Amino acid sequence: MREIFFIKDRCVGCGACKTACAAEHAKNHHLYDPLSSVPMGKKRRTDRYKQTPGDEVPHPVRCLHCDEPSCMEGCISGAIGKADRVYSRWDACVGCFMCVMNCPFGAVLPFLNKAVRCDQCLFTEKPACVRACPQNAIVYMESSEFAENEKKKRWRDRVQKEIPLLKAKA
Amino acid sequence: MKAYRYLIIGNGVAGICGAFNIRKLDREGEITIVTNENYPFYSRPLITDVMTGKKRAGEITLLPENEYKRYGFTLMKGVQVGKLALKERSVSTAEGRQQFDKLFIATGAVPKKIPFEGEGIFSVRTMEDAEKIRAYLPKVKQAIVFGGGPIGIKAAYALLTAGIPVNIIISSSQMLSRVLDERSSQYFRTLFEQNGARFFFNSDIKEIVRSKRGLKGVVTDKGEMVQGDMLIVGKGVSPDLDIVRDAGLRVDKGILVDDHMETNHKGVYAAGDVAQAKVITLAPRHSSASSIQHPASSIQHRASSIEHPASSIEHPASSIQYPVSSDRDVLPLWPVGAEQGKIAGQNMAGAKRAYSGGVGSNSIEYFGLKAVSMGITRDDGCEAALFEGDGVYRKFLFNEERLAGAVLLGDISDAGVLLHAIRNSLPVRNVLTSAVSRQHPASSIEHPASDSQFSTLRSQLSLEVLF
Repeated sequence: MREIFFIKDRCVGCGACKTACAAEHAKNHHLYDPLSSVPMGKKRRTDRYKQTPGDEVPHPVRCLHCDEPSCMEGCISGAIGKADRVYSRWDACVGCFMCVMNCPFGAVLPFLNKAVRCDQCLFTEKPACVRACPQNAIVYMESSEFAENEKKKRWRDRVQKEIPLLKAKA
Repeated sequence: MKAYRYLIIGNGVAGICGAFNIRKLDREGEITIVTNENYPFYSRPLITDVMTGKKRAGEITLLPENEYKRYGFTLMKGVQVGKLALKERSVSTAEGRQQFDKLFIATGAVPKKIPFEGEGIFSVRTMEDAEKIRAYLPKVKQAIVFGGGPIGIKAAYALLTAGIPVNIIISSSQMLSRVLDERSSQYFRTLFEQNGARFFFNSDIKEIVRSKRGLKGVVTDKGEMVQGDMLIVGKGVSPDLDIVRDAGLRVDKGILVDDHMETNHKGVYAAGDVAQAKVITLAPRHSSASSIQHPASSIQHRASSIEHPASSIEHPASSIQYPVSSDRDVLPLWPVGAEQGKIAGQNMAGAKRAYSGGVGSNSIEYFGLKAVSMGITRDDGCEAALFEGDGVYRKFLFNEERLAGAVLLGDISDAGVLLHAIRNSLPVRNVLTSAVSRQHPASSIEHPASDSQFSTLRSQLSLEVLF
């Protein structure tokens, strides 16, 4: 199963992922819909892929698809299920927000009277935020692949740091 | 190898979660579920929707009857369990004796009774109750709800949304007194009053007034006459201990269980509303409201409880020493029941899994206003950080460096992060107090309250896992 990974150093906080997420989960996949359909400007925000502007580098929060999802345990209406990925059925959700209360990662968000989460853009090849990111800060790959990349990167950094030292020694 | 025979008494969330977790680890075992109700597994918190006719019984059923076979569960519904014979490993039921190798007691709870009964007086606990109320509802012009806890208020809310004005009699001075603090309950009180509810605080029922046509109203102990054609009692629940009396199990408020959800009898497990299991509270020691002790002091208690004569009730099968009952409590909540059931099921199937302890937490939503409370909510002797404004109310209570409780109203995102902080007693005080002090009501329009001030907390709690 491929997962979304976020590489903090590359992010510049442009918010393109946020916009893309809102558009992806709207009718017609058009940004016009989320901008116009929710009347109150205060409530208009990205529901499934949240970016937190703060003192630190902004970062999105996404569902980790836990082995034993505590949101699923808390769900009183049977809307949350797990089949490879954890999903919630919009029509079955009754808005009790037990999942919001139970998720230790804050990855389930209340949106109007339903609870929403990152669904990794089911039925698409790549999630919308990954496609939108101009910095390649959000990547979509197997976790083993990501770990290997990280290892390579660390090795490269180390080599780049050590080569001048070695040259100086010689 | 002979297949294990598992017997589960109770078809609620703890029982079903237990059954599923047994099935995950043990493909062969025979799982029998006995229940005295006539419905397959349904969502108990949603029966108020059935009560007003908003949803049908089938819509809140979480596991239809034909699905039981798919997982190899045998459902015996409408069967009353008689006596437990734990030594002989059998249970007598209305349909004969049931042998078992491992028993799981998840009988749940029964509503607390009031000394009045008769036509027009209902309690809300089972689907049967809900169906009865629904059949009675066309006659009702105005209803009375007795009890200001989550059950009573939820029933009142359901009736209000169905267009029936409700009089609510509450014995304490605020609604939802065990869930919310005084300030936050004011928000809900205003909302309820705007929508046709009337509150009678600090009152108790003294008398029931009946006319020829049925219930007419009740007289409170203050002498007020409260009108209504129907009385719904929601005074809370108490564990259903009928079948475990004289069975040799250790019982305090509920059935006492250890960290593996096992009772003092080996191979007999209990979970859910009936079990008195580990509870995490971080209430300060000098707090008078809570009798729960610090972990450090409970060790002394444990030592002293061995000598105590009252606690030396026979537990023959094992030599497990139980910690004092003060750090065990009954938490009649859905997520707690689900987690306990999961732990019990896995332990029954042979895994060793410890229960980390439950935290009393509640999530409510009435008339579009959301609220979450967790841990302790009353600040007797606790240090508190408070934020209020713009329809958002947030209160955090601290015990030294750790978070002991929180009330969130209006904006409930990040509630799970806070609950995680309470469960693992993380030192988050500085982060939260600075987050609250940085937040100004005016600027929270620009950045919704949750967006900015929790990023630091998040980065501490979950960043390592996330990235």
